[in-house]
Amino acid sequence: MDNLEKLVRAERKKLLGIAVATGTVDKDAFDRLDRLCKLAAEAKPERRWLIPFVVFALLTIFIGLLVKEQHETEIDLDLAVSELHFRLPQQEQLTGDQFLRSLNAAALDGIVVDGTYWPAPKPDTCSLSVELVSAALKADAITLAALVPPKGWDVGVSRSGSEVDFAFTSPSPSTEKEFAVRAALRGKAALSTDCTPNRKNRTIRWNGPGSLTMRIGAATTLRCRSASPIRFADQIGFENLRLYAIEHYQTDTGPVDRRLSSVLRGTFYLDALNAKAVPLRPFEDLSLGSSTGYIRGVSVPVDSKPLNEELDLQAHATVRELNLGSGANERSQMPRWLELLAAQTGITLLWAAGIYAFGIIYAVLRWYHFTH
Amino acid sequence: MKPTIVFLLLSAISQVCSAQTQCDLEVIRQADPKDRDHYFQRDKNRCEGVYLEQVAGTVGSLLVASLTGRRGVLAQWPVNGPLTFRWNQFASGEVHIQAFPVVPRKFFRLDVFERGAAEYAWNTDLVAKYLTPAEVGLVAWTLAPIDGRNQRVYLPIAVGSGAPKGPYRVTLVSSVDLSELYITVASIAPGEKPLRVNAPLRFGSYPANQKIEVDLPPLPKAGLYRVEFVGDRRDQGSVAAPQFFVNHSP
Repeated sequence: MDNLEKLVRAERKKLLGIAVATGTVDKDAFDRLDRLCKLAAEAKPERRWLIPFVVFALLTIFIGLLVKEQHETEIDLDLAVSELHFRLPQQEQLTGDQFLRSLNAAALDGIVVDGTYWPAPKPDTCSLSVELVSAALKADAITLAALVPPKGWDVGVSRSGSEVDFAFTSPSPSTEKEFAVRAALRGKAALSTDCTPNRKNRTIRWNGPGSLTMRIGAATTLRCRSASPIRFADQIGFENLRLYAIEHYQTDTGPVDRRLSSVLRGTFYLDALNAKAVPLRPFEDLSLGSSTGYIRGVSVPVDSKPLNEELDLQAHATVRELNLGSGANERSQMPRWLELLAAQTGITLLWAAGIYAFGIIYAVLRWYHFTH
Repeated sequence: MKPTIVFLLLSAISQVCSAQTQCDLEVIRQADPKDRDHYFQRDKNRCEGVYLEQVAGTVGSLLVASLTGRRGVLAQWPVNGPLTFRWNQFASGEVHIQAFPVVPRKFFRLDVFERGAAEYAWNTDLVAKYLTPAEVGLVAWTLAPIDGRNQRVYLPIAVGSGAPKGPYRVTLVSSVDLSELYITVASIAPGEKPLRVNAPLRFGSYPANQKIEVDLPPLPKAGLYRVEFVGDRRDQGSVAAPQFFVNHSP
């Protein structure tokens, strides 16, 4: 086959040389060259498989891009939730000073009241209740100092009307076992606690200043009731943000756990898809898998109703899983690579520029070929 | 031969690493390395220098800025030689000495870590460029297990010669205006009655960011005393300094 092509080229060259030298072309020689050309063309193998192959390859690539999800993606959350849970990647301030009307704590490791230490009879067992009396002055308050749990602790925040609950859990032995939270009292208040050697309830009535330090143990909960909304710190770093509650039921056959979404409403935004908004329905399950990021803000809505459970949450997260729904209805919301490419305005620009450049080059080549 | 070299290298690396971890990383992050006076590890046990932005640790609603003897007031930095200060040793733990500004918008920090010593000679050339003695808080503390957990025990400091003796003076700085400040002092020994329980200081006014010098009541016996300060804010509620312990060695 190569020899035939070489023969065609040699014959063509020879005929061109004669034509240039003499100004005429021999008909027989031209016919012979024509036949040789046809023969060479027929001798070439037909590549009928090429087009289907290209189509199949492109289809495979497109299906792959359509199916394959990003390994991890960034999202922004703008939600109303009834509770949230997260782990602290480092020691972090959750709240500023809070001016409370009442404070309840359970599973404490002990308390220090006005300089006297009252240990829990057993670790994480004692409870405490402090409440301002009804005739309290405006300046009176139980001032709860900033909550600053250690690195690695799990924090849960939930709300019920004017009460906000904080649940602290020390998930592993490597984290610090406890931390201290201070409170200062002003005005008339009553403190009731079972942090006593015999677990007998003890009540103290204050009329003036008082100080209280609570030793937060491995599973302590704090319930804060405030006349004004609780103020949370901004930009709280987190790991493993969870927007659901686990409800426990005791039945005749044993305990049953149920997972309930805490999402009341809101939207999350897929940053990789030019902040594509995905609205959420009430109590729609949103699983973030292993996530890291920071809470831009948590707040109690000012105009919310007294029995409202709503907390406004704004957060930025990097997630490796992003699922909506539960059970058989669970569907991933991780961006696909094709969506990602489609969302890139730079790629559209590149295509347009490429086609334009190709057109220009093609026109120049046509002109060059025509003139030469 | 080779194992010896590896051991020496490893021990050198571990020494460097352990030495580096003593400085406050947050302050290092806020320091400008181009500034010759920036905060970094200047000696084996000393980190000192200036930095650019406020960091946690030297701020708080009610900050304990110093704990000294009542006669330990320093009018000016020593012209020749270092400033020597002493404390009474307590337990065998590491003593952390910290100096920092008690005035807003000045960012300086000294962190010294001493083990087994009861005095330190501080070369004040650097701090003297930025702060007067009256603008500096100076504390020494160690961690000791009290009530089942490691807690901060302040060691009163005596400037100059002689060991620190009571009575002591605590300097506080509040970040908010206070209308009254209350003190609680109690021995941690079982059965001891508290010396003060929420006793008002009655100084009249306590403006924000101003030093509040409080004389502790005479401590009758050697040992640890729990000290708490609670202040009434001018607007609403209170502020409380983290409770701390004072080691008294008469």
